[in-house]
Amino acid sequence: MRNILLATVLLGASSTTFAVAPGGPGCGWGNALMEGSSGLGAHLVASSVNGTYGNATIGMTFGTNGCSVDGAITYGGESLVWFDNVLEEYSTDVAVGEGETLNAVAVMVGIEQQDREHFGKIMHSNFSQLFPDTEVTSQEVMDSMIALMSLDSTLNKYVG
Amino acid sequence: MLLYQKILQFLRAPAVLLVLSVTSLLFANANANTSHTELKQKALHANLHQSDYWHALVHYYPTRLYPLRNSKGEFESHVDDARFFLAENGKYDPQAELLATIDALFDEQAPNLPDAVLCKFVARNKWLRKELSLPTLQVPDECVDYHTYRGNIGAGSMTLVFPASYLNSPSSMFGHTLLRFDPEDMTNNSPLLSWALNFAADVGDEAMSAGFAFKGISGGYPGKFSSVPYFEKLKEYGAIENRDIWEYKLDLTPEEIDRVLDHSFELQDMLFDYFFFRQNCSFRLLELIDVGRPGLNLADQFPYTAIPADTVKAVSNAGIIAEVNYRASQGTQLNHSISTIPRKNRHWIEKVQAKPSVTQAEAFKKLTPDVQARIIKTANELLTFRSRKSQQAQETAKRRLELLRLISQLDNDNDALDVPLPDSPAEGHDTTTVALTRGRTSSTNYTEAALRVSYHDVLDREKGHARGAGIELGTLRIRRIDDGSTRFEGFDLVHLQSFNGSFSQINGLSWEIIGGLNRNPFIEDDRLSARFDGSVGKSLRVGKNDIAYGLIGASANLFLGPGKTFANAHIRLGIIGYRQYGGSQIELRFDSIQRQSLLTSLSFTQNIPLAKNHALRLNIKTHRFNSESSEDYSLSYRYHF
Repeated sequence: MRNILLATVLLGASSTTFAVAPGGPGCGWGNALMEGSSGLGAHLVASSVNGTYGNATIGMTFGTNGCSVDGAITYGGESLVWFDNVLEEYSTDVAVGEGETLNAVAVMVGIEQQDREHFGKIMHSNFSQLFPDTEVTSQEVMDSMIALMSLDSTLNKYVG
Repeated sequence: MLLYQKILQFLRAPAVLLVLSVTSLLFANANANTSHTELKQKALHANLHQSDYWHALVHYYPTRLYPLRNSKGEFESHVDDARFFLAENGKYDPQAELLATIDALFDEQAPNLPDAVLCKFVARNKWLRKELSLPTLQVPDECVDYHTYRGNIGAGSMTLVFPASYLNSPSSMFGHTLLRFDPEDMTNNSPLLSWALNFAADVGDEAMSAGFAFKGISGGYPGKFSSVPYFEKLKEYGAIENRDIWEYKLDLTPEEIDRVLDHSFELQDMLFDYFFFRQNCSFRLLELIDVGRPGLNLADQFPYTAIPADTVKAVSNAGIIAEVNYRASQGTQLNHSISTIPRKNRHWIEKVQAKPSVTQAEAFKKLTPDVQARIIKTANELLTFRSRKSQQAQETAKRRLELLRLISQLDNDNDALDVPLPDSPAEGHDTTTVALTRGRTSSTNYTEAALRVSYHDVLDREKGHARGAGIELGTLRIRRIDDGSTRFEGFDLVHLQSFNGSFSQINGLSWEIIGGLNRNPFIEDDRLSARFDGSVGKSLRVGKNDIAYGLIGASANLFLGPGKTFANAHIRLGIIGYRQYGGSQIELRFDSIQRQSLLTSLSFTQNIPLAKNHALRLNIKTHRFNSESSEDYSLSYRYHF
């Protein structure tokens, strides 16, 4: 419950209200988040191009690159940047219906172990809704995920 | 926390500080001062400055191991960073460093700034407290960096990660190692959310410049540890560099993992000397494991070179591997997927990736659902593989999404394309080799002794090694001819082979280079020359276990002393096969030797492993030159250790 709330907060924050990027001003992590993510298309064809996440790589090294080390770079805080970076793997796992990234995303949004298989099935059977076109961004995918979960009698308990 | 910071701020006011100092002088001074002097005596009495663990914590090594280096004492630390030492001469003096550490940590009179020493050197502190029978350390809350670091990085288990060698990049052919830290509760977590500790040369922007390799090998760059998200490393190695990844979960206690993490925190951002062959990622990780579990003495096993594959073996031999996990790279996965599709249907892979809508065609629908599913999934893998280094192309992205949509509608066994677990690199043959050869040429018989410092050639026992990849460093050959003469036959400084055994859908580039000293009976009467030989071309997987190749290349022979320089061009055609009884190679080679006629060579080599570290090798070579034929037959016994 808490995690999904956090994710939702971050989603809103990334497009509007955060005065300071998570991780502190000038932090590679935060900037990657603030700059917004490119659509799914970029991930599908260049998912693994070095530098997709630019400075985030270096920014996550503790104490360098302007990142604060006071806990901003933690589980909840990293969720969206992390999600953006695994979007390609996630889309593939959702298409297949299983996989490590699918499980990790379920963990990230707080799904208990006994409900993860069900989560995977719901995502799998709604592939086209999650990934309607190549322009879809990680934020939109996250929004659709939350929408799908709130419509599901098992998963709605994880949503806000 | 906020309250605490306010108190700290308050305390920093000079007036308060003065009052406090005076107070501490009055009340605490005598007691504290005596005790820390006593502690120093106690430490010296216990010879802590000579203990293995102190040397491990400060990375001291006896300088006698490296007589060529100009050193200032009996010991020298590999850390090359003034911030790491508390004594002025700490890099060279274990005793001075120990005493300075006790001063800094336990002298209550000293201006002991928490964030400087107390918060940084937690591993030293905990160890000293144990040795000096002091109460266990509670790291103060104000050590924010330390607590953040320890809070972020899981301490439930530690995994040695080995991205294996991969074809087509010589600098990475030895492989790499890093450590992953997982939290205790992995049912509510994922390795994709874990942190990894990586040690690498800090090459800055120079990575691609000409001096890179030389500086990396000779120690021109500093190295340092950094914490990185593990998923990022997975992408880097599995997708971009196309390396299979091995994960060895280590059988360590929580207390041992704590020690590793405390010490790794001490090392954050500290600069080390970096030498490609020894003071590299793998050596540094062994040191960390040694800090975790004293007495394993892993690093000591590698006084001169630490090849990642060897260090993995050392960890395996130490019996601390609890679990092995394998992740196939994109290329390995793709090759495997193609192999599961009947040969006559493979042409569809290319068609489906180019135009996913052909799956609606009658001819495609006639295939069994299982084969259809394999083709669609493999087409997606192929497209992913091909686009992994390209920039965004809208049209490619659309095709991939279309394929994913098709995959999401499939109803079949997801495990059908799983890559079977290959043999672990820890099971490979040992990496130094000696060979004894008996052979005959057209004119005489000979006995040859050879030593190869490292590591593997394409025909050596395949188990645990990447197929088609060879890397040899320092191969020395001495030959005794039956007429009684003994001569230096040659020395290959470096010999790299990369024969990519991929299916035709994957662009298989192959190449081979050799540099060193050798003799060639067809040039300048067999005199010793410096030789460089390079070939490049295409290769292809044929059948299940064979790689066919065609290469073109050139070589240069430079004669020492009076003589000519020869430049030759060549063409090579061959097949490398891998069978139950070992690897074999047949090659037809044409050399156009400068200003002379064509040299045609046909050779056959068969390696027969007898056991993990023992093998026989048969070699037959025939040459035709100036319409004369000559032969060379030999049989070798090879031993790896």
